[in-house]
Amino acid sequence: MAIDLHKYANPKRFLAITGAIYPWSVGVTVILLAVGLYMSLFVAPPDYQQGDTVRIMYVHVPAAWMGLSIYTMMAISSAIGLIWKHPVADLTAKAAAPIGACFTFLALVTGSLWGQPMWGTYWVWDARLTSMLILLFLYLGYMALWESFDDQGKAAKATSILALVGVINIPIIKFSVDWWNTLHQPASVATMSGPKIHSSILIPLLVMGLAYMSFFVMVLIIRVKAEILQRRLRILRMSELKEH
Amino acid sequence: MEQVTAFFDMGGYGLFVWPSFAISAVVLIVLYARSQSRLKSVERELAAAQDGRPRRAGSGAGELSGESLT
Repeated sequence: MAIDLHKYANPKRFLAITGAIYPWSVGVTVILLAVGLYMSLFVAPPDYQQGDTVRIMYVHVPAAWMGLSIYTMMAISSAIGLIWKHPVADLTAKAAAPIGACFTFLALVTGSLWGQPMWGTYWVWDARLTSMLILLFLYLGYMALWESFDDQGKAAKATSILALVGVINIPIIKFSVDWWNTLHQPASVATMSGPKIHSSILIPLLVMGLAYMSFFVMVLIIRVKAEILQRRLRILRMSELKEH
Repeated sequence: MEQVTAFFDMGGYGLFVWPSFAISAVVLIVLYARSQSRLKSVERELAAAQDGRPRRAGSGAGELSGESLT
């Protein structure tokens, strides 16, 4: 059986490039996490209203940023996969989903741990919290949909459509705090007039944000490689079945 | 010693601050470990599948083997 080598050209180059980036992503993640955790636990001051609970923000906000950006990246990847049939795009989206789900889960849990002492409740069905919960369900639904097809081509198509339909939730989450009267506070970093918080809080937050981003790159490289090799294995086994 | 106690107390909010950091650490470490172990097992399976298959020139399968990319 002839195997179309053209199909492997891209994944191969992809693996070569990401293989070179990987060690750097590990180093950067470790350094940024060490600096970020030190700053958020020791250097950053307690808030005059929130006291030390403000430190929860350093693991909460970056997790929420990642939950939103990873989903957006998955939707873009899925569109590339659907339109140009790029062989790595679908696998990248598939590999990113569990990482995004973990970050979204962490944003919800840490937010809830902050809400109890500050709002007096672990959970409230306000627009920001509810739309964030929907994001978690979208991630889980996307992952379940991949598993429900034997035919990987069909799975890629169906999951891409789900990812693209679900992307409508991203601006809803982002603007929920402006559109509705939420208990959740409005944006204070990514605003039109620039960050509205003091640098003693902003810098640790940005360092943790970069650390989470670098962690994402590191884990994504591992997961995409596993997906590419898994696909090779599947093709290899199918071609063996046909020979015998 | 007092400073250490105050640090863990987090102004009375230790019960909320520390679990937030702990669960973040646990989830991210488990995610990393599971991703890594899945890659290793796929690599092993692929190597085994390629060993069991005689290489033929131009079959294409040979092109896929023997790379180590991390």
